[in-house]
Amino acid sequence: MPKEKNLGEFEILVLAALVHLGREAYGVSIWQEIETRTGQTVSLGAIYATLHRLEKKSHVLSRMGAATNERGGRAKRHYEITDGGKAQFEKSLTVLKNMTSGIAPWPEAPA
Amino acid sequence: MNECPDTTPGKPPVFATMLIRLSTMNDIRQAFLGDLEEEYRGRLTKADKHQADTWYWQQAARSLPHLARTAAGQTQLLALIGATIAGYLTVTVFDIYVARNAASAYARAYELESYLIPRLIYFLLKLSGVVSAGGLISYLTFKTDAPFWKNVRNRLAPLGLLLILPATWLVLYQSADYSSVYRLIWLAGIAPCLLAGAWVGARFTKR
Repeated sequence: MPKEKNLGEFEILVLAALVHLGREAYGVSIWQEIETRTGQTVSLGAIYATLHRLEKKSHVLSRMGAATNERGGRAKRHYEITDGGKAQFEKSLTVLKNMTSGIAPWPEAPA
Repeated sequence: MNECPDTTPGKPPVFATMLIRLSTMNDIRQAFLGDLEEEYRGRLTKADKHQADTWYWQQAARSLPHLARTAAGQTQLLALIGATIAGYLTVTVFDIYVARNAASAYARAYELESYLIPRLIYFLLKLSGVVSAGGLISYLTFKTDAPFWKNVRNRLAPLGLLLILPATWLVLYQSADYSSVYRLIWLAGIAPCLLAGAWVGARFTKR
């Protein structure tokens, strides 16, 4: 069985947004969640590319919603995290916590 | 006289939408365009059309590389054709604009009568074009979840052959100018150069 790799930074951000937003998450809401919580400017395209990659790895599932007028008659694609995605997300967070625990406050340089 | 407010909802920039359509794969195209239009219309209610248009164009420009790369990964044939063309162009541009000019400039600068050193420089520079071509092929076609050597066997080897066969045929059979030394340098260098480029390109693919 191929060894599962840790998630990338942006993949973690997208999965975290999906956890916060629940089953109704879609492109715009994920984008807003990430921009609001991180203060970073990201593109919708980067989010969709990441969601597509996560879906291929079976970490997220998508389903089509209803088409609306304010979207030019186009349907939303809703995303949600799978059990496998949750497990991988927790694993990546644990790796990050293990690596960063004890770092703050910043240690003083030796005299 | 009171002006009648225009209640027609604004449409996003047509050309930006067309670019997105062309670079996005089918299964996310409609959802992505719908998201952009939803946010665009939201911005129109808060800001003027110029600001909303600017935001739309910014999103299109910044999204295109991500979407095009995802689409290229999805459409193997397009990626293969793209990588081959990109490889040919890279080697050709290096050949015409970098390698030949650098070698002839070197020969002129040192007033050389023998062209051995300039031609060696020419070949080494040309091989650096092959390195770039290997990098492009790996960046455009390598699968991130497949081992490096599997990618080399399934993607780099066939595309690399397509790329180097015409040039190798030219060097070996069609030009009396090339001595056996240059031919050996070309034959010995081309595969390691393609591999080196692919290795570097794969580092970026795995981000």
